[in-house]
Amino acid sequence: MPATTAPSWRRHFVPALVLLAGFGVTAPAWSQDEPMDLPILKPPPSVWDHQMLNGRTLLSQTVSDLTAITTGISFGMGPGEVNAHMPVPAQGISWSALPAATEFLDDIRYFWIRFDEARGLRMEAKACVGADSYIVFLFQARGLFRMSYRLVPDVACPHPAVAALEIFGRFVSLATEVVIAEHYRAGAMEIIDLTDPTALSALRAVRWQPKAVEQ
Amino acid sequence: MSGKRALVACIVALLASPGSMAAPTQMNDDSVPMVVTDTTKARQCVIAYLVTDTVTNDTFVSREQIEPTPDESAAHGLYACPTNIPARVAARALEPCITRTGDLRSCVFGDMARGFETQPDVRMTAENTSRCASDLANFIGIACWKSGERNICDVACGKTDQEARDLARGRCEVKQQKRCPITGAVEILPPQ
Repeated sequence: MPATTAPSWRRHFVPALVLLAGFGVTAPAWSQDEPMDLPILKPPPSVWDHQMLNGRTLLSQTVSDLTAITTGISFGMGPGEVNAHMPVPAQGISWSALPAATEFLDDIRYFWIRFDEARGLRMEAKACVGADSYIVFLFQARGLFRMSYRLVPDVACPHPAVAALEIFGRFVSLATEVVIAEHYRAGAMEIIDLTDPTALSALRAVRWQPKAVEQ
Repeated sequence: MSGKRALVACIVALLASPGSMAAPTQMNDDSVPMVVTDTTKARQCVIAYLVTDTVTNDTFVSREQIEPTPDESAAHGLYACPTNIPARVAARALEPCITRTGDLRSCVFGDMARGFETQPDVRMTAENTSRCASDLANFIGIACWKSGERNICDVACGKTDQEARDLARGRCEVKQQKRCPITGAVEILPPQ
């Protein structure tokens, strides 16, 4: 039976592989990595004088650039006004009826809506988020000073980071004179805070952490 | 046949003529063309940097446009970029990241040294190899490998999106001795 004789290519190829493996020349473990696209965020450009002594933001943006994205919501609005912009306004939203946000030392109050019910405020994010994801609206006495996206992973969506990047990317294109957009992680959650640049720095500096992470 | 050939040659010559699609150019008596003003505004120099938040892997393009000197003239619709870029311009390039991250120490330049994964610090990155100038390239590209949850990257400049990615991937794979399948690229000039 000729089957006992290996084909000529195998006679040469197999010993060559054994020899290469013996010298540590094996296929690297990373050879199966799939190509992936890395989205690049585009903040507004800066412009410098020709001596490059002074730089400033090239674009002039106003609050209308923000409200064009946030379905009309802007910083300084009271809880009732913001509630009126919700897809389904809740009953009885007023400053005195809102719970306190205890991560702040100041008297800050909030209400929240589910992300999957936020319609225009979902920022046309195509990637998945966990079902328990939500958006918080934080108020000081003079009005709204922060919107906070909190994207929660779950079994159906273990990595909401792609959606976070989609949402964050919309606000990065706005100058920090209009809105300060920050992206960070709190445990497994992706957080995007949109803060009023005129708010006190003590308020701007506060970042939310879920209770389990605070320990 | 020779008549047809002559006609085709005539059409080809007309199409190849640089002035065939342009408005007629007035000639003076010495047959020297009059000065024709280009109505399209030349683009100022833009230095584009790629900067990265090492915690979230967010990558930003920082575009720094530099005004030309009053006596400078553009070539091919572009003003030349300065050869020396002051450190303050590079420092400002980090700002879009620093103002948008939870931890300002996590913002670094996109071109990282080998071993960055063990020492994720801005001093392990290079500003001069993290930037591209609009008079030399059209795109700035980045290529990365993943060390745990963190992207480890290098940067390159290219004429096209694909070339910038390919050159960045080549640079990353040589420098990092890893395969760098995560790539991105963006135009150096911002949209007008």
